Amino acid sequence: MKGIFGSGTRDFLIIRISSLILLGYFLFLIAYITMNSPLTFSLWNALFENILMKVFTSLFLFSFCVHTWIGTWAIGSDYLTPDRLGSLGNPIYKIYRSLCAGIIGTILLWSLIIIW
Amino acid sequence: MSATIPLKELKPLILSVYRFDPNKDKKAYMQDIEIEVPDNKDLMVLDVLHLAKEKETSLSFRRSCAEGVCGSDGMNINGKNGLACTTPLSEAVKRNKLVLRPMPGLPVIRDLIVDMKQFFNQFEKVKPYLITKDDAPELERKQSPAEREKLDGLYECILCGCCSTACPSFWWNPDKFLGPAALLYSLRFIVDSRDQATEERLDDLDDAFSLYRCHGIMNCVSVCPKGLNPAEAISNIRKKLTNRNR
Repeated sequence: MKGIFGSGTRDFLIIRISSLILLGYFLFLIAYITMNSPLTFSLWNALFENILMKVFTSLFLFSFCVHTWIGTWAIGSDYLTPDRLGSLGNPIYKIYRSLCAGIIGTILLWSLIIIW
Repeated sequence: MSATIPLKELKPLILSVYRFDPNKDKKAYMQDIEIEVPDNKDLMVLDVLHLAKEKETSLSFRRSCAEGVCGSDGMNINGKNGLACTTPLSEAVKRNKLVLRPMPGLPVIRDLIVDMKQFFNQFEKVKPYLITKDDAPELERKQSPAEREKLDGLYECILCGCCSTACPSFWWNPDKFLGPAALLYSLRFIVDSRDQATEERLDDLDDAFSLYRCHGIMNCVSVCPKGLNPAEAISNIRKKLTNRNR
């Protein structure tokens, strides 16, 4: 298998880059909350009304979903295999992937609706 | 061996060893064998196995050089993979008990002997030989000392299988993930200045499983009896692939 995004290297890089974006987003939020303590609803609301914050949050959400999609695939293809689960391996893997796709897709769509 | 040592210098040791003979056993079991080992001398685990075989003649294990070169006697020694011939009892024994099992993750043929076919299948996939496209030179393919130095830490692998059979990723995907030993060998030829198939070798590794299924668990590093670092080799191959794709 050539990888989720066409090659093993591409998957590897996407995982690393997306994790850096996730880290950057969390560090920004922690810094913002620390510098604006005590945080009020109006401050928080103003932050997320800013177009740059909306773009940054959307980038965070896409990174989160891509990172999770590759990560859950790696876990599933380690543990949910016919070698380990016999004839049930493939059906269980397909159900697991469908569930992952459903949950990740819902989180992405719902979050984008909230943000925008 | 025990006959040449005065009795007062012997101490008892319990050897708990994995036993399975497909011709008579329905399932594997652990057998405790009480043996006496010298109190004033640090034997190797392989010596203990020979002492045990004097009592249990059907006990089976592989061995050849008995000095850490051939890689035949890889086994699980008190929970950690290693070579029986180079592991001293003083390092292995806990509470006066030595537990020996076959290397995990591979089918057991008998007692401590495992079927290494899967391991060597993966090894074969990395084409562990020089690939050249130019005509053969009159004498030899030369290499500078600096180019030769790049092979240090890679060529010393003896293919005992301790690293790959300690790797959970290899247990989970033994047919897809190449395993630390094969990947170490792969880098050995990727960095060899005389090899002319670097790009093809990297292409072969650029899928989801062969190389990238390494999760950095590092068991390979902690068990390698030659002190090699397969995880670093895997990381170096990743760097080469990443730089190539920029």
